Amino acid sequence: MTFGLPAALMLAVIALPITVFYILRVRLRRVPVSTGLFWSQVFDEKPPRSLWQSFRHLTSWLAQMLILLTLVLAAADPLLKSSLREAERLVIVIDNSASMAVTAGSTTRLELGRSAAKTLVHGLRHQDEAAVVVANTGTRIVTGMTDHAASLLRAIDSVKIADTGTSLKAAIELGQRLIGDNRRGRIVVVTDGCVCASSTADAAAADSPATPVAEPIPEDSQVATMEKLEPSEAAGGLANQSRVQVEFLRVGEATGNVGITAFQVRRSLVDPVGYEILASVRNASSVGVSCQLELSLNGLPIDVIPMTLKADEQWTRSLPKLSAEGGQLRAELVEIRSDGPEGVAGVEQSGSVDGLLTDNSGWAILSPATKQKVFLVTPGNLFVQKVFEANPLVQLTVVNALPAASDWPAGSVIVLHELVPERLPAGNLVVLDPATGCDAWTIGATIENPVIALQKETSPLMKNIQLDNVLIPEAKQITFREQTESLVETVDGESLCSLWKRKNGDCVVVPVALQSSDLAFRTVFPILMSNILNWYAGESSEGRLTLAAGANATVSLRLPMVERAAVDTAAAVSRFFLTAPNGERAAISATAQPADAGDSASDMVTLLTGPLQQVGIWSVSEAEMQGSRPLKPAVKTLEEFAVNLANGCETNLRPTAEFDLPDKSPGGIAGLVSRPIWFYLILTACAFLAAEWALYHRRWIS
Amino acid sequence: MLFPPDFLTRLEYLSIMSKRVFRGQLMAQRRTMQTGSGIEFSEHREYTSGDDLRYMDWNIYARHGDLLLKRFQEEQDLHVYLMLDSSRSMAFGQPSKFDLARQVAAALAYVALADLDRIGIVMCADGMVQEFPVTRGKDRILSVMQFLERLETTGSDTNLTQSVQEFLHRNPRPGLAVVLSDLFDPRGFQSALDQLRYRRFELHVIQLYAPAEANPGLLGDAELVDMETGVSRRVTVTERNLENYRQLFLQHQQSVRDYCRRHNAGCQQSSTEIRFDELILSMMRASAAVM
Repeated sequence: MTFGLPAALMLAVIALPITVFYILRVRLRRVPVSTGLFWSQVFDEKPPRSLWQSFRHLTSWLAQMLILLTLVLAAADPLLKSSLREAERLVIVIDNSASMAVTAGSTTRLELGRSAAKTLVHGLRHQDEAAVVVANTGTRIVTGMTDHAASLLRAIDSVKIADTGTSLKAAIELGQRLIGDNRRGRIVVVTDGCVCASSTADAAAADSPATPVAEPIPEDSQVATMEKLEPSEAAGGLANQSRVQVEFLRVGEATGNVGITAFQVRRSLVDPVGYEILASVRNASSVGVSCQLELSLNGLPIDVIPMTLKADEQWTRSLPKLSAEGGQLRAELVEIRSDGPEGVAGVEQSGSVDGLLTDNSGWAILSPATKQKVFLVTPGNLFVQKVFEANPLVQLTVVNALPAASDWPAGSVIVLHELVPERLPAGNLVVLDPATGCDAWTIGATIENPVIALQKETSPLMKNIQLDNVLIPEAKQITFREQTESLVETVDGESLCSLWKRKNGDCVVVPVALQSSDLAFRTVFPILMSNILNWYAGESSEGRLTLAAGANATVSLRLPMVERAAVDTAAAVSRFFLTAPNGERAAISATAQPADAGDSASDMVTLLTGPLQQVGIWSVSEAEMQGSRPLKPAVKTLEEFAVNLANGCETNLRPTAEFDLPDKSPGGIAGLVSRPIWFYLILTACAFLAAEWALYHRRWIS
Repeated sequence: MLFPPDFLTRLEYLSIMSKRVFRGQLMAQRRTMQTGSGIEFSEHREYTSGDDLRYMDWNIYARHGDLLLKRFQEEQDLHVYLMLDSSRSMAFGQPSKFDLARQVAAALAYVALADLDRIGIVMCADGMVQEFPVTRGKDRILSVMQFLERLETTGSDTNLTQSVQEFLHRNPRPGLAVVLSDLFDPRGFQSALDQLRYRRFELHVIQLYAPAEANPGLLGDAELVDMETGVSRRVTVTERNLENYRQLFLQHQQSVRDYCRRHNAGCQQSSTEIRFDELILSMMRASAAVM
């Protein structure tokens, strides 16, 4: 054993004055009394001083010496050799995901976790440092490495529930980076064990928005997200690769829950005024439950689906609906009742079948179906004409000859089939099988049997399109005078679908001979046309985003060039606001979206928001400006997006057996046993002090 | 200062108050049972040779021819003896019992002198220590005060019996004996008071005590030193001891009261916290002690 502060041992010299003062004090007070008449009678009943009374003074002196000794030792901070090697660097990872909001008794799991984390902080020794990291999907350092216990406690208190999933792996990795090369690093993960491997793995990429569902999710697709993460897996084997010791401290008890694990909406691919709802409900309890899923659009009920779910059953449906109008779509689980014997709610200790409220609701934004004007110039092709005529959201005008330069309709999507003017008109264009060149391109040789080698799937124009098995003979080779984005390329590098972003409107060119190709017979053709029209309408084919809680959202706004110039100014910082579901509003900054390569004329403005840690409807608003100052509260909503928990792992409030760790109560790891030696010395001094206090009161009560 | 500048003013006030309270019962106007040279007719007796002819009742002789002598009830002054305990135990307290006792003695002396009574002061400790001779006249009050002011506690013990015996050996004229003491006599106070009663002294006891005597704020280890004897005692005072002490003290107080009530003696028990003039007034009202 050695001492962290050996100079403090010098304080032992205080024993001398204590002894001197003690001797002085033990010398009895001479108290004059007017008469010994009564005192004699009082004390004649027993001997004036017993042996114990004399010994008691020695005991008191010994108690005082022991108090001093223990306090001096405590001040000297005795250290065992094992703990002397290096100060410990502790990273406390607190899981503040949605499942931590479950109430266990009168406290939430998060509160239990907070108190466990505080116990760890209280157990820090001299020179030990700790950091606090939260492990929702947006892993964040609440406070960096510090030995200031008050700051750590404040940081722990500041941890709030986030309606998100858990990202233990990212948090542990972050903790390891905080610990660095320290050999005595330790990571303690305070969690309820409701985590899953995929969520942790994906958490590292949490800053990307959740991708809207393109196709109905197969019923078994949720299984992947239901897999529980084992503690060893949560550590990701990182503990084995480094010297960092990872400990798991589980809080809360298993409880049943029924929740919405998926809720998405998109416009129908076949019915322009229809839309499809994907809803998934999971019974994450060990008894059967019955409940109702209520669906409403803009507050008006559209469907009520009663369901009975067996234990651990997943219910997933794709529900087709009709509505040309858009709005806020909401799903809510109500009337949740256990089907088990009365009073029996399964093996869960809390006895509840719905422990979490956050996943009882789901939100989605349904885009309105708006009509578009399409001006089709074609020498005559029934397939092309019918593709647009079949779309009830298209107001079609068909002409068989090129109009004069001044007769091009404004505000319409112009579709040129074979006929191409020498000078392309302004506006959004779709050029199909151009027969001749123009001011933008020249027609080259014919590609007899092109083989498609590349398809840019990330482009919204190519969503849900697969051209691999489509025969496209006699396609035209086109050479653009300006740079374009090739969406489909052949093996030879020739483009079969190009997007040209012009200053006065975009242009999509498909140099495929529709007469000889079977493209017009395939479903991809109307889908491609629908994608193009949606692109021009400013909407994706699925509608607006429904995000997973905790994700960041990037909102791109198409602003006039003049407004975009204003965005670049500092005043724009306070121009846009992000409003949370609970009404809190915060200014967000806007940046001009980098134009695609070669296109300096982008009028898109990017608003980066998030992380969105509340479920519900978020909105981006623009304040009416008065000079450089926003005019509050007058705001104009620019964009809305829905945020759902939709996380099966958070819905399942039963930690896996691997997380059913030995009961490490908050004091288990860093409780009494793990406290530094000086703490016990102080306790010992308190015990001696109590003894001396009793002796003191025996002697000097007044 | 034992006698502050306004002390005499207060004494005068007390004197006036005493006349109001005891109107018609002033000390100097008390008629004794003896016949003598008073002006109040008492009785006739037959003339014998040698009697003063001035008291012959000539009217009777003229009517009946009998020589009868007129006798008158004699008026004489009351003797007030202030027996002041000057043992060292009287120095206890803040202010000390001795100071209060001297102030009370001065006040009683003033009232008595103002009523044309005679006063004498006797200092008692382990014996009769000092004496202020019997005197009368209001102008003697300053001498009395000077005497009291010079007094100090003395002696090695309290022995009231011895003091009273020495006082009685001087064969004083019976009168009112006011005992100012704490009555902490190891031999008991009853014997001394009994002797005064036996010699036909009208008795009045003023027992003084300090608050610290009634309720000593003393706990724990201490060495108790008897102020009179100097004997020390190392004790550990507990709450139980303290309670026993309080019981004994109250019993002592009660025994004083019982004695006075049993023997029709005036009794006044007072803490040193009370002012002397308040004590005198309360004493007057309560027991008409200055009679």
